[in-house]
Amino acid sequence: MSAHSVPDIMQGVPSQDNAIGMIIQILWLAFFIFYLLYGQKLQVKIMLKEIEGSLFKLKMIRDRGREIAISTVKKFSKHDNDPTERVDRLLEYVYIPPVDLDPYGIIKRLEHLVDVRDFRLKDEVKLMVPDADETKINNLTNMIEAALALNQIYKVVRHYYLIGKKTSSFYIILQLQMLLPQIMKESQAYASALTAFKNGQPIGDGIGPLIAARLMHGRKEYEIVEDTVVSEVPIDGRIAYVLKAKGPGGNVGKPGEAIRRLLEEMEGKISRIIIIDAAQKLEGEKSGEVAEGTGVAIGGPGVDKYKVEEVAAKYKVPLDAILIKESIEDVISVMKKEIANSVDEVIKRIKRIIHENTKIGDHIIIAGIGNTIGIAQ
Amino acid sequence: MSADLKGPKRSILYLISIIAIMLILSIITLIQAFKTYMESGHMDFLALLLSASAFALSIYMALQIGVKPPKLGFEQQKVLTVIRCSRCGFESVRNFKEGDYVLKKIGSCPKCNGPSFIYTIFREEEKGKKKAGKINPIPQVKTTAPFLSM
Repeated sequence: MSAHSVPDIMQGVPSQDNAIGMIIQILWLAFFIFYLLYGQKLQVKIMLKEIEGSLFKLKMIRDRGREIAISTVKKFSKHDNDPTERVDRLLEYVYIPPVDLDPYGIIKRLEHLVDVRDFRLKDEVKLMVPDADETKINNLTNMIEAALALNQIYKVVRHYYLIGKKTSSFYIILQLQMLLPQIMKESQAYASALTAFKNGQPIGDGIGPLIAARLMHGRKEYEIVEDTVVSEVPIDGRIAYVLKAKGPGGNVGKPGEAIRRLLEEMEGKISRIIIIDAAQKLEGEKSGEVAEGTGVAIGGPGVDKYKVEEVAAKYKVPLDAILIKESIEDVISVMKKEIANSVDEVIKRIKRIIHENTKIGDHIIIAGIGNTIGIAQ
Repeated sequence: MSADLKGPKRSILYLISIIAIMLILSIITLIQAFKTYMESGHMDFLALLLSASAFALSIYMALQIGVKPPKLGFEQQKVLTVIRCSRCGFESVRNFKEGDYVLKKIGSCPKCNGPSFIYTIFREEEKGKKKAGKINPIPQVKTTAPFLSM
């Protein structure tokens, strides 16, 4: 060994008295053959181990979410009934979307199904905490929805993990492994949302209702449709109908129906509709950045968006959108300072749009879209 | 939940014993290499490399023992409530209390005795915390952010 240099030995250069070099070369060859024959299997094993670690973390998140949901319901329930069984049943609750094979009338059917699902969840919560007020019931419903999301994420990942393991399918496992970092972030965002719903704190998605609440502050409001309130606010000689979901409980209201009803009541005599909502930011954009656009800035299943588009097109009312950029994490976790600070900038832009595009005496609609948890009117 | 997974078990005693064995082996190899060098004047690089690797690995494992349990997302965040006077605009900030919500009437102003209300509630991010990347939503919690297909 001493007669050879280290690089020679490491490279396995053979010679009569270089036994180590020979062994290393044989080992390299054996490794090469092994990798050729079993390389993919080895890779699958390594990936499955990685997924298993993440799956265990997902399970911990799911279980902790369930525990929080049960303990919070117990805290607000004055009765001795154990809510565990009911919460567990709710966590397995399935929503079946309407058939889209024949899309005719799908919006109506979708709206009906979404409403039924919401009522059902709320009713279940009411049965668990019959003495709680509307705000508490709405917050608890939102919290259970977050726990339900965590349960579903865990179960879907486990499903693909087990399928991948059973079939040893490299491509199923590879896809799952590639998606896992995103899934983990989503789960943590839902965990954060669950905590915010439990405490009744405003979330990032509430920036629209927060802006509407600032405009409505001190004005009398009325409930135009279920869970949605409107105030008449004079802004620089114009009359603005400012609407938002009814707070401070976790609630998104029915902004589409509210705008439709306002327009029908006014027989289309609305010179502009301004919709304010949170929008998903692209990587590199800052949270709380404000952008403007044209169209209906309402997310969700599409029912509200459809209704506003339909009625605005009927009466030919121009639509403006003001978007506050947020990451999905920000949208469902407690409102960040940067997002809360964007309120003044948005109000400035609303006033600019009104000045540039409407006349004194005109009527306009300003809709603050989003979950109004922790934000009253 | 029949196919629930068992979590990876991490026994500290087990890890410490592995670290100890690796450290002892690396020290022995190092002494052997030093002896060989002193006797023959030849440096056994292979032994030195193995020793250094084992040493580094044991240090890494020792550091891993001290690593905190993973964050799940349920950790308490610093949430602040801003109270503003409707009359003089005086603002005060305090920690969020259960039952707080924006526009809640909350006592009187310490300066002018005017009516005060909760102006805003926000979360202050911990310094040095890594920013999260863009991620896709899952259609469950009711939010209305556009472009997020709910």
